[in-house]
Amino acid sequence: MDALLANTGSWASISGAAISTVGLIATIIVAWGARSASRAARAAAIAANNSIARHLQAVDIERAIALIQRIKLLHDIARWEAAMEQYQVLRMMLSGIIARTPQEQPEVRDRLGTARAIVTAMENSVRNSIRQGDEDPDWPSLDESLNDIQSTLEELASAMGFGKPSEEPT
Amino acid sequence: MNELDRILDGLIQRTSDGKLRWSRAASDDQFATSVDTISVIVGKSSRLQRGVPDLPRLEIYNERGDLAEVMQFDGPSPDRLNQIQKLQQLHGLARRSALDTQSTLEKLAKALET
Repeated sequence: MDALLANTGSWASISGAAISTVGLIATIIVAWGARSASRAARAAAIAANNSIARHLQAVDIERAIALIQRIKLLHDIARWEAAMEQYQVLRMMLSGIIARTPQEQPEVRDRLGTARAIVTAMENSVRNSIRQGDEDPDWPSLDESLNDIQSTLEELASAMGFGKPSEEPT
Repeated sequence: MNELDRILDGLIQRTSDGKLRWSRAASDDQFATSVDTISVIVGKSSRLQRGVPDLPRLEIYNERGDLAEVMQFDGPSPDRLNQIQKLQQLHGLARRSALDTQSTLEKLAKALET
């Protein structure tokens, strides 16, 4: 008993150290949990952002394809002034789609950039034809170019897997 | 060598190597491509700008799609003959790329062998 009393300070030190260790472990567990929660929240935010971006991209592509159909109709009925206005709208839509396409997909971005340049070339071609007083611009060539752009957009939509559930971020 | 010459050489090299794909643009003699979303259209002046002889013309559009630079010729001036020849070479290569000429010729040659 005496020995026990004599060593009370040592026991207190040991138990103090044990309590500190347990406290430290508890702190680490809580901090780890918080870190995991923070990571999970970040992953959820990224997934939500990706989902919104994909949805907006899908809407833009759908609208661009619908506009291409409308422009082809304007070509059919030789409404060239109206078609020129729609070329500008289509170009802006393509710019929006390019802006939303990730930098990690340079080939897709370049194909869309080329599509936008083709729309510019179409607009210039129609403007020149009107200015020169031509009977009609070369509408079969213009429609062929529009079909190429439409194919690019449809491929992009397909490659992005629209309609499928979004993938979890890694 | 100025910047436009270097750009022309780069476009010719990458197209020759098959690393740059061109597409037909609005007419049979205009072709477009993009590098880092900077777009290039090569065509003939008679199509792109009426009233000028059938000389090649190059348009460069920035990342936003705005016209940034034009290379065109008022006539076949001797001091720019080198640029005109390069641009004509690029136009021919762009046409072959857009129309997939090489692949078509190979298929035809193969079909004739059988």
